[in-house]
Amino acid sequence: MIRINKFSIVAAVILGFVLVGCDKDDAPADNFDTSGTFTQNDQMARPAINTVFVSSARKNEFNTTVPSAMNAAFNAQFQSVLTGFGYTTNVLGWDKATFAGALVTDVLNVSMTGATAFGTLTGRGLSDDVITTELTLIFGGASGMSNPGLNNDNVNANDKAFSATFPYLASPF
Amino acid sequence: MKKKFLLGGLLGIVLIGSIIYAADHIDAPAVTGPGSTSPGNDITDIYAFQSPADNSKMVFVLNTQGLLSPAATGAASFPANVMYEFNIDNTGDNIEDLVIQCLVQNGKMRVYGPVAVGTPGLTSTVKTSGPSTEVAVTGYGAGSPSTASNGNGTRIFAGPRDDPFFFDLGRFKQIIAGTAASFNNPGTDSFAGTNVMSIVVEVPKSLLGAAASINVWGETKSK
Amino acid sequence: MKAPSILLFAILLASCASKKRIANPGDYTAFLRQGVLKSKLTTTAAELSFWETRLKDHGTNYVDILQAASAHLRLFALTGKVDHLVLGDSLLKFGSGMLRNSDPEILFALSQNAITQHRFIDAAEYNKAAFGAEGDRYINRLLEFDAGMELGNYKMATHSLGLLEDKKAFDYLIRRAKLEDHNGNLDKAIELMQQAFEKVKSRSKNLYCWTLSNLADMYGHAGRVKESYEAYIKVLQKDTSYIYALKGIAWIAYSHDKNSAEAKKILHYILSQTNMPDIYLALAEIEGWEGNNGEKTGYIRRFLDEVQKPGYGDMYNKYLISVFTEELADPAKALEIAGKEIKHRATPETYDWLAWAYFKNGENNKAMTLATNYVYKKTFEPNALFHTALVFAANGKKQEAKALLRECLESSFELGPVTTMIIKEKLALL
Repeated sequence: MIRINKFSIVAAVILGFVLVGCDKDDAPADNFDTSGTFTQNDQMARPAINTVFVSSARKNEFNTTVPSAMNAAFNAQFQSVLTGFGYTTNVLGWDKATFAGALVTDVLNVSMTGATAFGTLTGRGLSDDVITTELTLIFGGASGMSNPGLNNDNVNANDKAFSATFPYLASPF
Repeated sequence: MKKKFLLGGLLGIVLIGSIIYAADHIDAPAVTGPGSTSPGNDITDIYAFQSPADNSKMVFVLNTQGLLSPAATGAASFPANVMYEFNIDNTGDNIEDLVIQCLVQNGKMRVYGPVAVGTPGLTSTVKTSGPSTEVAVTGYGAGSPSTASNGNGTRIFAGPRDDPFFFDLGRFKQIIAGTAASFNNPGTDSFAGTNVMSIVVEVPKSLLGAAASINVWGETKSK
Repeated sequence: MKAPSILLFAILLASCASKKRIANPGDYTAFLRQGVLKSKLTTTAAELSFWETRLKDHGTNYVDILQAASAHLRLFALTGKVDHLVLGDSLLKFGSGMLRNSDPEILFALSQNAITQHRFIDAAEYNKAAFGAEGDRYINRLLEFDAGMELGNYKMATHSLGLLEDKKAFDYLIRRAKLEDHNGNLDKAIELMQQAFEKVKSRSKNLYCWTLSNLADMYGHAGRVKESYEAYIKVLQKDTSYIYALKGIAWIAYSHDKNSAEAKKILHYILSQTNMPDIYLALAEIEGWEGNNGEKTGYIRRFLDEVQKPGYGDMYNKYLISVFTEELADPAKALEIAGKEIKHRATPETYDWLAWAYFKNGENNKAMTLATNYVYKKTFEPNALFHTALVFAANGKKQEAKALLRECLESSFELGPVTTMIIKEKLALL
């Protein structure tokens, strides 16, 4: 999510001027309107990718580039951000180009045959500590233990328990 | 009264009236980016995981409108002009083969799919030929979530939930900006106590094709 | 001087009586309820306290700081209480500083906040800083336009607007409308605003109200009073707490309908719900029209007491210049303010204020030079036309003055009955 950042924090700040509160939608009729063409505004898969690796100036471009075209358009930028972080390798043994190549196509790889977890790159569950996984891969070096002040944000779990039954997310505060 | 007016302040006030009326228009609405005239366009997180309740099913979550404080949650809603779309690639080329499309209108969410995408890309029309499911949007303060399912085993939910995401975003931003050298221990969950507007769709894996793994991403599209 | 006044007044009276009233209390009295803002206020105050509590618990966390800033700024928008504006702004600055001013999104927010506070140079600077921090180019261009138009950098503003690719986007349409209005193409501006309204009317309640109430203002400028009224009513039907629309209806009741009692009723209601300093001036105008000079002076005093609080900065300078020249016979003070404004931003409008301030200080030549070079035929704002006409008249340019005054009469509704009277008198004397 670091995506939050794309706009939402500031959106919350600046929307304040006019978009005071949110809207109750107006109910035009009781039929579903399924007409028209919908045009892309936003997309995401893995948390934090857009915010960390894409400059503000190109966020909208990233959000409207189909995943199959992301590598060509953004690989160089991802590599330069990794260089800025002092990246050389990680626990997976990926060099900079390999890591950038894996990150830049922003899709979640999800296993269809068994357990899913972000740490094993087989999906993303609600309780997965995705940020620490990413920080470890970026800052943790070959051992995963380098840069101890940076390889873990020390927030390890959600502040409310998830449910064992659908829809699994906790009720709102 | 009219006489008084004449003898009275006539030459006193000259332009106040015009100034009042011709005053600056209200400041332009906040700008946040193209297509952002609806607050529901920003995706905060996407989740995709094997159902904890039934391992033959897959769960997809798309969250929007992050950092809703409890007080702000009651007024939050899903805009009617936005399509929330899960994209699924089951051939390994990072191009969507199937989509699950979610629309919210009149307090109800209708979900179409999974259904073959037809033409992939940045624009979509509603795949009304796909299987559909409809559910009432769960209100803030509802005792239990409102869910619905259809005959093929798809289950859906839409409404406010606790934001499942956790991260010391505040500290992270300072590290990136160079005003902090490391994370605190323990860190501070910037999202603690806040809510999001959430869409959850659970579908049988059998509806997603036979591949051993799929690629998933979420999109918001608007008209 | 008296004779033509009385004669004209009789004509005016006759014409009012024959004109049908537009503002019908049956349409809006239901909106004049106590506590329309209450639920929004309660909610936003609760949001603020949520983030402030977290700030206390977390120490300085920029997420909490920005969210608290947002709540303060929304409280300002709701209540008009300037303290919230000041607090929101300082929290934003603090949050930005925590990130070495490297976060473009906070800089964009600061830029927009500076526009609200009429600190237009600061707005442009924040926008530049956001550009330097690789902020979103699209937002950069929108804010270049917004700040540029206020600073008188019309060429740059027009250029930035032209760089936007989507000429059908809401953000584009509302700015294009502003530009056309500035260029004197009010009909075109209205058309664009109507298109903008079509874009958002089913998307967001707040954009519905923002766009339609601006459109209503524009109808008023164009003398399309009935359409203006209907638009304000539609805004209130959409959102009963959109008090801005009531201000427009009060003006219609007064300026068009000459129903000053009704106008005052609405304005008093607005004051009972929220703090909008310009409402004091509207009440002063109406009390003056009714001949109640004591009340009038009282409202002007209350206006001054309010907007001279430090938090308002330069937000009400235009009004202050008018009050110091017209009401308080302190043209020197008006000149000081106008001089400050022109240093800040040189636009036909600010040059008009300066010319008018000089004129009121008895410096006819200076006023004439400024009005001729920087105001005449460069702005179509009725105030400026009126000022320029009087400056021209005092400098012997009778024909030009008459033409300008006749043009002013087309904006009678906007200028209000008192000014309209004066224009007619002046015309009769020239």
